[in-house]
Order: sequence, then C-alpha cells, then structure tokens
Amino acid sequence: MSYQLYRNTTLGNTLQESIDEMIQYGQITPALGMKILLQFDKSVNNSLATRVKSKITFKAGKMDTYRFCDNVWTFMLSDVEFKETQEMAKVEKLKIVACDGKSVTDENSKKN
Amino acid sequence: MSLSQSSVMKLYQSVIDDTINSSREFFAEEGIDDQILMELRQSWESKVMASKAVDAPPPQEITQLPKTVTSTVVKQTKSQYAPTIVNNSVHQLKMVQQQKIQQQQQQHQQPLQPQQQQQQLQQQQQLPQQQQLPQKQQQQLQLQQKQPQQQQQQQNTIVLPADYANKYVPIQITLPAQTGSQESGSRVLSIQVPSSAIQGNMLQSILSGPVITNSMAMTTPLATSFLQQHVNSVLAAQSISSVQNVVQPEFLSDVRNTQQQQQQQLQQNNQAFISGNVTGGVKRTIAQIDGANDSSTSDDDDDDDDDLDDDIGDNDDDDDEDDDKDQNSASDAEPLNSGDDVSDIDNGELFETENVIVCQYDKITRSRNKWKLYFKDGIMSLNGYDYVFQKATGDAEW
Repeated sequence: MSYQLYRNTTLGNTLQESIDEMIQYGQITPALGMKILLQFDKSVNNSLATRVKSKITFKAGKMDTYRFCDNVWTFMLSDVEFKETQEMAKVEKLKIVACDGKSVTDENSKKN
Repeated sequence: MSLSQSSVMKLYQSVIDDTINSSREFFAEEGIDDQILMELRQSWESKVMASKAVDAPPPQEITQLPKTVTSTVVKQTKSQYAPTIVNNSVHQLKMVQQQKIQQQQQQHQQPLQPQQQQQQLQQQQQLPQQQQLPQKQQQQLQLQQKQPQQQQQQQNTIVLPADYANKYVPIQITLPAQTGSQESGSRVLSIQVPSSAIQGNMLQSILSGPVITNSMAMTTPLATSFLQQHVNSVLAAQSISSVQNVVQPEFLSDVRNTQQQQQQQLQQNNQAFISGNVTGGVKRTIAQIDGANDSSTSDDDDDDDDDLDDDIGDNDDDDDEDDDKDQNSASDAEPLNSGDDVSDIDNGELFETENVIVCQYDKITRSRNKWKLYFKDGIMSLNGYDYVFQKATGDAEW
C-alpha cells in the first residue's frame, strides 16, 4: 500500500488536473485515470524513500493545534524557521499532515 | 542553493517518468494510443512548470526580514502563483479552476483558427454539390468566427469567478469517415460550447447516440455546423446561454437570430430525425437544471420545447421542494449538538494556510508542553516554493 497524501502537493494536484481534463475531453476513462493516480502514489512513495537525501530542522515559535486521528498527525504551527545547513525559509503559519512512517517502511523492507 | 530545494526538480522528474512509464501498460490494456499518454505527460509537466513551485526562491525570502515585510511577501506569492496545495479554501479552488479554463482556451485557440479557415475553403468547394443548404452554412460559419473573437474580448477583461462558466471553449469531436465517402480515417470536428456545459458533464447527454449517428453521414463542415447548432439549441433551451445574454446582449441576439433561422432550415431539411433528437436531448438534460430561467426572450421554436419541458420540469421542482422541506425539518429537529458543529468550523478555518508539509512521522514525543517531531519523506510548500526532505526534526511549544 502506498500513501495517497502526496496527491495533495504541486505534483499530485497538477497530475489530477491533467487527468481531469483528459477525461472531460473523452481521451481517457475515469477508471484509467484512477489507475494512473494509484501508480503516482507508488512512484512518489518510492522516489521519496530512495532518491531524497536532504535533512532539515525546524523550530516553531508556537504549536497552535495538534490532532491525532486515524493514525494521522496534524499540526498547526506558528512562526516556523527552517534550516538545512543555513537558514532556508520562514513562515508565519504552517500545517503539517503526517501519516505513520512505520507501515510503509515495513512494506519496503519486505520488498527489499 | 540548499539540497532540499535542488532535489525538488529531480524528484519530480523521476516521479513523472516512473508514473508515465508504469502507466503505459494500462493504456495498452485499454487499447489507447501511446500518443495520449505523451499528451498527459506534456500537460502534467507544463502545469508543474507553470506553478513556479519548482523555481529557486528569491534570496530576499531566505534572509532575515522584519516581520512586516515577510507578511507582504507572503501575500504577493499568494496572488502571483498558482496554489500549490489544495486547502479547503474555496478561493484557491476557484483560482485553480480559472487557470484551468484559461489554459484550455490558450491551448486550443491558436490551432483552431487555421482549422476554421480550412473549413471555409472546403465549404466553398462543396457549395455547388450541396445547394440545399448553402445559406445555413454561411450563417453557421459567421457564428463560428464570432465566437473566438468573443473569447478574446472576454479574455482581455478581468476574469471574475462567476464569469468563467459562461466562456465559450472549443471542444473536439472525433467522427469516423463519412458514410459512403471514399475518404478513410477519422475526422476531427471542433465546436464551441460554454465551459459551464463541460463542467456540468452535460455534453455527454446532449451529444448522444442518434445525433452522432446522423452527423456521421454528413460531410465534415456540415456535421460541424449540425453539431454546433444542436448543442446551441439544446443549451439555449436550457436557458444557459441566456446568462451569456446578460454579458453581451448584442452579440447573442445576433447568434439567436442565426440560430433560429438555422434551426428552421435544418428542421425543414431534416425534419424526421432532427425534431426527434432535439427534443430527446432536451428531455434528458433538462432534468439536471433547477427551474427554468425566465430572463431570456422565448422564440417560437423554444416555446415548443418549453411546453414539453414544463411537464418534466414540474416534477423536478416538486422533488426539490420536498428535499428542501426535509432538510429544513432535519436542521430544525437537531439543535442539540450544534456546539460541536461550531467548533468544527473554527478548526477548519484554523487549519488553512498555503504553507503545508505532507510527510510521514517516525516519532512524536512530548514532555510537558515541549514537543519534538521527527518526520521523514516529506514534500513541503513554503511561501509558494516546494522543498523535499528525507528527514526533518522539529521543536515546538504548545
């Protein structure tokens, strides 16, 4: 199983827009569109796990809200500073949505 | 440039490659041409690039800024760039839709005009052979040429959220070769429809079986004008183009007159199947619309349709009223837990921001009010720019 939460990113949203357009123009069926999206989930989960090496830290001035529901953490933070080797970005409000990292790791270790 | 930023384009490219290549077998299973898959890739890539999320952030955003300046930068990016993360915000969704429409128009407008000129040439050649319908065709051509101009005018004006539904966009229809003709291979027609019709998925019911079957027996320009006229008349009967009328009254009254004449002529020529199809289409599609819009001036042809519609429309109205009553009584009957609902709404507003991380958690710990957050495999959108990380560690106080 691959998480679907990465659909809610630039890459995922643009793919969904493109698929929607092609469905509207009758070029592909909704069922095929769904298959492509599921393939996207696999690809993005895999690529993130294997191709990305950057490590960052961040410090929030304040945690406004936390929520743990259905194994998904959601945080709302204020005044967050991000650092990699040096200062990277700063935002007033930040939302974090995080799924459980263990279940996917288990699956990856089985595959490997 | 930091690794988390420079990795973004590499990651995205690898995901695009992998997704497209792995989808090839699905396309093969359904017997869809590889070309469509390449189109999907192109469309996807161009949307990613257009989002600006993969561009390098300007240096002033990285350096320390006084708080007031930071906030203006945030606002600018909001209006300048496409929203990278779909929040629950209605505003952002609307922006996405508008951009979509504009992109569609830009993509299709340029290739369309030469095609129309081509049609004109074809038409002139065919005129002697088809003397039954020359007048109608010319009028149809005028109609078609006016619509792209109209589009351009509308594009120059400021796009309001409510306006996009009334824009005309070209759609393409592929037909097999004309019945009995020597040409082989499929023909691609292009007709103009209001984008609201696409959004509502109305076209499928309008352009259904018998209409397509009949148009297959016609020459390409004739089929184009026939389908265009059919869509126009059905949509006009639905009072959807009456909304357009408010925007450009002069233009539309022209079109309406033309439509009327066309419809009469076409009906005279093809009475047997046209009348059956048009009313059939209206019957099917009218069910999706609540109550008729009375603002349009009804003409003779429409009156006939309206009479038919009234019976069916009445049924719908009744249903809607029943639904409304049910909803009202339901909301009246449940005042008890209303406090919970309110807090839900507040949370929803609280959770809206353009800065979003989607990731997986390794460990979340808390001691008193101090939280430590350990994340992995994340994609971040900060101030309109995307970053990715393998690991992220964060501190926060509640």
